[in-house]
Amino acid sequence: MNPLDRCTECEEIELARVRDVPPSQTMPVPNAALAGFPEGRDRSGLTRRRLMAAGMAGVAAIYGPKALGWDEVWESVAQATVTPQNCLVVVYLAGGNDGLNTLVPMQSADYGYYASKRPLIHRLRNTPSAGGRVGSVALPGLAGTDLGWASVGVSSTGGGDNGDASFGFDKLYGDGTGGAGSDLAIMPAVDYLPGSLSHFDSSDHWFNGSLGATTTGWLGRWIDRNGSPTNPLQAVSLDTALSKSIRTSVNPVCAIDTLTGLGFSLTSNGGYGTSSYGGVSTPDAGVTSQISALAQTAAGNVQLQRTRAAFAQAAAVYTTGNGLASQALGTGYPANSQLSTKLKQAALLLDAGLGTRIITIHWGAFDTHGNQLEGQDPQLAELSRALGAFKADLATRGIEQNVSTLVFSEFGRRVAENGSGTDHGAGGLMMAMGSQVRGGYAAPFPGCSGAAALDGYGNLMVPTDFRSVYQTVLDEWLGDDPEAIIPGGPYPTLARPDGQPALFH
Amino acid sequence: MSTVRTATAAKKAALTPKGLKASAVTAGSILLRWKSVPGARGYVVLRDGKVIGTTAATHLNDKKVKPGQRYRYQVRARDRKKAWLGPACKAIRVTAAPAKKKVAAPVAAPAKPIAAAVPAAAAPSGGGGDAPSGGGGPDPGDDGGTDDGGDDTPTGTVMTRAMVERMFWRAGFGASEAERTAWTGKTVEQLVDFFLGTPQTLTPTSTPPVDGSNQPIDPLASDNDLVMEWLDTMQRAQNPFIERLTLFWHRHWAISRADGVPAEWALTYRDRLRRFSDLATNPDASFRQLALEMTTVDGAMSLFLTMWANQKGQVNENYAREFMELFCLGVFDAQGNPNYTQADVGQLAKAFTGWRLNQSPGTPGYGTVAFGGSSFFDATAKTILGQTGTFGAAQAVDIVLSQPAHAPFLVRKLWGEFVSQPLPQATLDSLVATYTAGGALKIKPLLRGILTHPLLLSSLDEPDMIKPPIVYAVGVLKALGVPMKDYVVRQELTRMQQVPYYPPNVAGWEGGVAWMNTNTAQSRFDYVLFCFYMKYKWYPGASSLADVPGESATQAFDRAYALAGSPWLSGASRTQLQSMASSMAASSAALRRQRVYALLAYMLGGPDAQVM
Repeated sequence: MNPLDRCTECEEIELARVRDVPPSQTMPVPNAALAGFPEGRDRSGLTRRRLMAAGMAGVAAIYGPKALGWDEVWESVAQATVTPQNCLVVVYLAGGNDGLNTLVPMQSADYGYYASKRPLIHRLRNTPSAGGRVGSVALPGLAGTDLGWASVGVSSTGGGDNGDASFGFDKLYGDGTGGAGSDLAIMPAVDYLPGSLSHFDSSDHWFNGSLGATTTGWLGRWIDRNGSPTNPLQAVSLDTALSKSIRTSVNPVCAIDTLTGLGFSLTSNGGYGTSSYGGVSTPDAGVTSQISALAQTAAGNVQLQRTRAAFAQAAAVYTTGNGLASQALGTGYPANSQLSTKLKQAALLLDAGLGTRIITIHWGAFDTHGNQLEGQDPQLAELSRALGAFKADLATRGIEQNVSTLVFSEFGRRVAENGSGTDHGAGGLMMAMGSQVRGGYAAPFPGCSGAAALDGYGNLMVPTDFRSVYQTVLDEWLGDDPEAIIPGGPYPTLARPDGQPALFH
Repeated sequence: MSTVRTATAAKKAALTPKGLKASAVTAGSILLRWKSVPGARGYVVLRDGKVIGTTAATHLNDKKVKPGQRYRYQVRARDRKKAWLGPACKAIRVTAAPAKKKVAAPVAAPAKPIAAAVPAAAAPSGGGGDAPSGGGGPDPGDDGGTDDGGDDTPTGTVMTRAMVERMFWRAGFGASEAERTAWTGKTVEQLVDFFLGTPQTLTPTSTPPVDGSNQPIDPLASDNDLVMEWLDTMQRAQNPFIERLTLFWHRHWAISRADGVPAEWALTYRDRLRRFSDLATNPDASFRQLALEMTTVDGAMSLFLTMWANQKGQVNENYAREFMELFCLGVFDAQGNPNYTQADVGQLAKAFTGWRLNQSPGTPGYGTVAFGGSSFFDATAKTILGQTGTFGAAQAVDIVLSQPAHAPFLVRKLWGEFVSQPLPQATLDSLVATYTAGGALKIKPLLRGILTHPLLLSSLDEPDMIKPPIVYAVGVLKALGVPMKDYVVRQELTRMQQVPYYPPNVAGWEGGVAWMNTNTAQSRFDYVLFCFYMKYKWYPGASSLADVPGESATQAFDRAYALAGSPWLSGASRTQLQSMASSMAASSAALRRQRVYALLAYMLGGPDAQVM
């Protein structure tokens, strides 16, 4: 039996979050902070009363060694340097995204084996979708000999089906030469080496940046070495709980579940909506307009009048787009998308200049043991569009050149399908996005031409250790000595098949 | 079930409870008390030879009595290891009080909740049959003086369904359908007697709150658990008033865990406040005793307001200042004159010296306050509010409480907790007289005067008090029957800006219209969604709302309305929601469910749901 087999209940997804230690405190994030602080960033404007007068954008659950005072946090945040610094957004695709159906093998032997082992779920090879089967589009240039995008991630103008003319993996990848407009680096088959037989540890390894036990995340250790002792917004998990990757031992970090601009909702916002327990999605705009209607009647007493006015105003803020997450920025994101919501919040946070350097997002349901096409395809479409919209959002805000985005999943999936889905495998797909990223074919694809090309369990071989990628992110983008942060190094430099010298410009 | 093992005659005799008596007898209830038995772990109460209840306390309220009926009661004690059940004490015979004559034609309690049960906007508040004291109409200024304070007449204000609703919201967390049915047709005075005269019991639950790992909560294990523990009591309280009053005292004698008060101390503090709220068990509870305990006994308060640091030679004025400013007098009296001077603060602090706090974890007595004697107490003369003497804490407390400013200060604050209308002068004077009668500063008669006041029932057709977040949140839990899990309730209460044990500062929560702004409005609506999530998805064993194939829009509305606990809805809201229901698609189970979920969300979390 493949020790990487798992039963249907997959706890790794929860292992990604810090659950054993509660936050040391919670603190409201005032709207005023996101809007640039009252009267600039001087101390006198930073009192609790002043900042909270315009209401609360969200609540930060702070994880740190000691409780912080209101004053010290907001002074620290206000003093955060306004000189642009390199920031990293990490999008974790929860559950083990199937890389092989995202970037499809193109070489005839690879493709032949792949299709034969996946009679139900394989893609067509370098042809548009047809007959109910998703197609694929080969990557431009030499990389296209090896791999091609599944059409569900490709824009309509690029010949794909993701439903958007402007955004898609193809648009981000560009010509793959790493020049202007080539802003997406693909790294297929990244995982940890040596392959561990203990599957419980796998996602911990990714978040901790270590195969050994640690109580800090790899980015948490970077924060401990480079961050502030009093600014918890320096690393934010846009989630209900902290991501293990930013867990620190010395400096404070935080988890913020939601920021403004969402309006009234019956659906999304962290998956609490009615569609997850037997109802259906209701567009937020519909709910907001109902609330608005219920708030219109004049009332006979001050308290009820005030209440109705508050609801009406909250609805109006959403409807007229006067909220901080104004619709003028952040257009083009796919609708009714939790990923869009989080990326919009990330853009908002990065733009606010509060000293945020790291943002983690935990999204999706990629543990596709069954009904993989129904599960993965809409998410790939959503991911391809949302990433593009996010990049455009950052560019509109003038901060795109300071932000790189890493996308990964804790493992890939087995070459052979199992029923209507796939089992856990090895060698998942990693991607790096941003104008400062040298886009292109950044790590080798090991091939799947036959059983001999795979490991003993029917999984992809793993030519690239994930710590090589972390090493390069730390060295080239965030700036620090990787050997002080990732134990067991140095790791082999990324061997880019396209010959470019580094991951970043 | 326990087994009774043989024991020696002496041991048996020692376990026999003594002093069994009926301490409060009404037409519908008999409150039994007995003396505590050393070595006993709990007690079993028998009526006519059958077990009617078990308790760890030394009282039990039998509420299943019929008027005029005679019953025979006995109590047995369970020993420490629960294996032994001691012999029954001598039986007492108690006769329930005869039924009261109804004073006027009561409004019949409506049948199963349907749309018609909600008072329509146009209907006069209170419906027919109201007692003369104007039980419902807006009545500012005109003081129902005749009904103040105690009510010696056997008749009283008979309650309509809307009045029951109002009483349970102002003094509790909303009324269940069973509570509405039980109390409609009874009088305000009877209900207030219930609130002031019933010790706490909790409705049993098969869905207790759990933590994130679905384990039973431990209030000392995490902040979430600590908050859930209290909310759970509120949700299941058969006498919700005890919890409401405890919450008031928490607002008044505010401490916050944000400044490092350990959870154990916070629980002790909360339990102390509860003693001064359970007016059945402590009918003579007085503000004087509460003030004294806060000053000289409570560890959380000592830590929070640094009383522990106030010692001979290093006077710390923090507590003394708040004692006068926030807890007992207020800064200015009604005429705008200052109630004390800075010198009084310093002198009071001197009188308060000497109370030492054990802050060493792991030692016995951790968190307790003890008098340190002459090394720490400044025994020199002090002049406080015009009186001079070598006062200690108890005497100084008495001096402050004897100021004329005290009684109106406290009365106003308590009034505002339960009544939204301004306090008329004559009522204030009358309540002050009740409160200060005999110098005892007893809490119970004052509360009776407030809770039975007709102004509490003002504006029934359009409720005029904003529900504080905790009251709103527990109201939703209670109405929908939501089982709590993990962090979400605490998280949402944070967004609504009121978390138990975390007032923003020593002045407590501002309250009133300050509760309502665009952020809190949204968070109150969002909270309902989290409640749905716990109930229909997340709690172990949860399942989605049932689908009713072929359910019509009207039926969907009625079903949602019943599930929401038949809340108050204005006529316009009712029309709006019925129209929305008619316009929603219903061709599949998911769509029908969504229709009911949507209606539920607006009924439980929309604007009308925020007022009581």
